[in-house]
Amino acid sequence: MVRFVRTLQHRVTPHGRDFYALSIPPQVAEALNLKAGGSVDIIVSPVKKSMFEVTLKPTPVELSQSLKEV
Amino acid sequence: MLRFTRTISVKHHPSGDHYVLSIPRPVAEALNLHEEEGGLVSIEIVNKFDTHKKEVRAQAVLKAYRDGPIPWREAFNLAVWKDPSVDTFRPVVVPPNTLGPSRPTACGKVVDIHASLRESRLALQYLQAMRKLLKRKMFPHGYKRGPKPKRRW
Repeated sequence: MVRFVRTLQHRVTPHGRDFYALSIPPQVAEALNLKAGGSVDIIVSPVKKSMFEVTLKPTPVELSQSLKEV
Repeated sequence: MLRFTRTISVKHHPSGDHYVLSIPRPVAEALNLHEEEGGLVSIEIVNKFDTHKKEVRAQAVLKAYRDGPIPWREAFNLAVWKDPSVDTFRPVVVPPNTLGPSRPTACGKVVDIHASLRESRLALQYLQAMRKLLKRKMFPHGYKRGPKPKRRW
């Protein structure tokens, strides 16, 4: 297991909405086969009581193509 | 279970490619980092076997940094100068590196050869000072190692 630490940045947009951005290490992008960028699925699943697991998975090719069309 | 789809955007810099991912608010809430001004997130690469496609696929797991194992190293305990009964070495938290070149962060005990040498030098200084103190206590009028060498001429 390889672990990286990054800062989750929080900003409030001029419309008053919260905006969160996370820098992704190049090693993680490479492991996800997204060196040239692309769409990822962010899955939040409950693990224990009031505990969640957040997983990043590359979106399947068929889905990402249909997303591009949209 | 919640599922969101976002795009990892790439910015090409002379120092290397920078990747940024927009995080939806419910995800920040799940990480419990929505109220503060952001916070530290640990990103772990985990290889999982896909039973449908019969292949190993990498995925990244996001966790709040405070919920994961915090790296630490052994440091010389300066309190030992005042109270010799305390431990000579104590655990010290190693701060995560979020700036500069992208490097993995350790889990648990960190072995840093330069820091270990520095701490060992401090411990040696302490032992030498204790030895000196003990010698002064045991031989208050001076200590001579063996007879004085005779002059040959």
